[in-house]
Amino acid sequence: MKETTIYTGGDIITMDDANPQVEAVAVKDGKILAVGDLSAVETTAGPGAKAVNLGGKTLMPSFIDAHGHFMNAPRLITWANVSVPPVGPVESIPNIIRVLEEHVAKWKLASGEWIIGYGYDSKFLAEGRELTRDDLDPHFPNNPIILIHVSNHGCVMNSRGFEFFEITAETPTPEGGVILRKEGSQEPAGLLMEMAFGPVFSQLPQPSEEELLELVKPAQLMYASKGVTTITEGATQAHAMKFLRKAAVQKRLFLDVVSQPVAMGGELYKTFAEYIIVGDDEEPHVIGNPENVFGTYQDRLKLGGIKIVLDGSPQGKTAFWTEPILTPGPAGEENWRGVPLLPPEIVHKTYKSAAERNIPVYAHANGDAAIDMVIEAADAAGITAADDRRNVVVHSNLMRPDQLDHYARLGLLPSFFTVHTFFWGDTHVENLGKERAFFLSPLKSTQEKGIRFTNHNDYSVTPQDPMFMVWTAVHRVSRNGVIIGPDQRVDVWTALKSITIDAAYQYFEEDTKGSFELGKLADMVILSDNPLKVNPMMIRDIVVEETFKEGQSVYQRV
Amino acid sequence: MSELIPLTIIGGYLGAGKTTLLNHILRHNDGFRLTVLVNDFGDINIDAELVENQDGDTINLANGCICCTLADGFVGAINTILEQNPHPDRIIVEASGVSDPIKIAHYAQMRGVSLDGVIVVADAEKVQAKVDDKYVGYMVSQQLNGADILILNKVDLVDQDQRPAVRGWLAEAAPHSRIYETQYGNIPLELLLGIDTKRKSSTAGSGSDILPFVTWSYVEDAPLQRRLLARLLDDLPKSIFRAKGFLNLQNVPQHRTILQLVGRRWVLSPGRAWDGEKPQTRIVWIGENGQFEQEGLAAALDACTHPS
Repeated sequence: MKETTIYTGGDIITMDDANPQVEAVAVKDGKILAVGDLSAVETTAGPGAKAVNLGGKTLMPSFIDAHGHFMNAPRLITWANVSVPPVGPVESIPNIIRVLEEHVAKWKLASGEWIIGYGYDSKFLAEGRELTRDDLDPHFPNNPIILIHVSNHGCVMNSRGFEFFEITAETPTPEGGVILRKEGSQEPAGLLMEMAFGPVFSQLPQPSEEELLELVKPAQLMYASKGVTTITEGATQAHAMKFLRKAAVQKRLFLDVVSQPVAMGGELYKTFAEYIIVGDDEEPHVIGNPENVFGTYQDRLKLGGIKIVLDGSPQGKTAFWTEPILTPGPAGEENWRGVPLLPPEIVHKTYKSAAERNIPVYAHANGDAAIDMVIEAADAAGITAADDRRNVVVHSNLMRPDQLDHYARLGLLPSFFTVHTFFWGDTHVENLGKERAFFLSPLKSTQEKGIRFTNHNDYSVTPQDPMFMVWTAVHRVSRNGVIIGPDQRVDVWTALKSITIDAAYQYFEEDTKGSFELGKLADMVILSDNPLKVNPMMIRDIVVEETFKEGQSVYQRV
Repeated sequence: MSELIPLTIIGGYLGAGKTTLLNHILRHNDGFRLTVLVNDFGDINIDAELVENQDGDTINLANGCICCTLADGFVGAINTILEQNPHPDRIIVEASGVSDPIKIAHYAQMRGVSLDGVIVVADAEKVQAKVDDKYVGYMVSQQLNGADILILNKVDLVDQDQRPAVRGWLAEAAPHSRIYETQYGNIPLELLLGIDTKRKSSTAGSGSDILPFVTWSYVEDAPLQRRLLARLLDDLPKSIFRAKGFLNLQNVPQHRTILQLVGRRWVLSPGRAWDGEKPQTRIVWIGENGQFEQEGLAAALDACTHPS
């Protein structure tokens, strides 16, 4: 029998509306045994209970990742972060060199091994120019380097990298691509973009499955270090599903992972082969399969719904809108509205088939036209809020006000993406004008309609950072200091709910997670400061001291 | 350096008949070693006796063809193909119903492949409504506009007296494309894949009931003027779908110049040196039967030998 532990001596936030802040919490067998005044909790816990003094730190339910891409983590944690603040530490070319040198030392990279970095962005470098192979070569003569551009549409390489891919002065620049050349010569300078980058990226040497399996634990530790104990793999391809199941069966998961198999392009049949039959006219039929049960954790892995992707991203101008944007499209198009990535026929059939089998649909939809497609499909499938299907519209970033009424009527849950206000808020104003841009991830209006919503980082599109998410939900301040929709800001409590109890609700796990209530799992995080009390501008600086999964400590700050 | 593998892209909206067309190609292919990249195997209906074996993403056919899914993405699939030995004679890609085949065509500049043509299938009954659709209208019109050859499929579903109107509308929607009317994706393989010496035989279409096109050779010793030829190729009658051959161009007397023409798209590229052989132009043309003015084209080509 495991011992009972009482946590007290600091602020305790329960995320329970009925009982928001308490003096003590008792944990037994990985579950919440008692919540309330210290004396009452002590009585319930009985003699012999261990007491943990929080030392003035704040205890609260740990965070639930409402949408992100766990499968990016095992590789990405082995890459060097050459991003600009707040994502990374790089402000100049010497910074990049230092980060890469530290990276080589940390991972003990041998001569000839690839140095891969992410987040490169010349726009914010002190030098005001692109990094070149000549900057890198003197420091790294023996290792090929590829630093992937923050847009994921380009990279910078050193000479060893160009040698590997046989890109030389003779290599022609492909249409739709960029090979930056050295001044006065045809020699590649370092930067490749778009069509010149795609083939390079696809041929980058891949780690073996065994190597990736070994990285599953450190990848979870990255989440735990941010206070997250339920992780989302929000677009799982067929090979990734096999990989995750293998990791689960081998008991490599110590946090919960929710997977949403994705149906897109070539994956439509393959991903679903085990539980979806694709019939005539590409109609996906969802069927159950004992090996892949939806809605139940097996070895900490759960299939939480199916994912479809209706459009691209607003910052990439590939979202699908009803009205044209104010700037040219990605290829210079006029009156650009974007395009849908799925035909409406498929979207309709997906909602109908999934509803018949009680499987939630996670639809990536950023622009209001893509959201219209979701609304029409849910309507056509006869879905109503009373069905309690918890179909999620992932991002719902640039919706129209009238669409919220349909969400309420159809029971569609938005999972918002408020860090957009910081990273791309200024871009959205430029492309869409203030009125449309300011309704980005409209938390307040959604709350006023009585619709529950979640918030996400979309890792690795942005860093896994729940406190930064809360900060953006509360302030909505852009990089340039513009408040992106002042009337859509919410209070800290609401912002916290969207990553705890309401995220648990999204996953039909509100009975076991998301708040401190009797019998729920003791998934908890200790924060350096209380987000409800700290100066709201400082919320982003709150750090995670310790994280618990079902009462067990899984991360402790050094 | 090995020869570039020709790439054919088949596009068109959901339900237009892309898969039917692919099945038709695989069934009637004779002599080409094709690698067909599809979104999924769900709709591909390969005759069982043709299938040699299936290994995950790949189906090997007895006639030398390979069918792969695009599970690893387009670039990944092309890289895998380039690692194979021998290379296929041709790669055919099925574009998704809401993608722009021209964007895929950009990838044809990757090492190892060259774009042959973009073929777009349109449903004669529904295509006009799809162009007006608030969600997919823009994409469907992009698809039509980007086609080198447009297959106007399912014409049997349109009333006889309505067909010219549909065709006329399509000719305006896709002013640069060659248009070919058919049903069940039933179309001569030469139009889709061109003439190739690797083919064992040349079949005049795959169904005996259709004999809608004709092939014709032009042979000429006198060197052609490049500028005049270019103008002629730009202004060819729309009844001409394909041409392929070696040219004897006046400004490049040392070696052959290869001509590849698919619909409006034509490319001249350097070929082997004449090496003592008598320089001579030889072009095979494919055009619609009855619409194809052989004499007129021959005269126009002859005129390209005279400096203006």
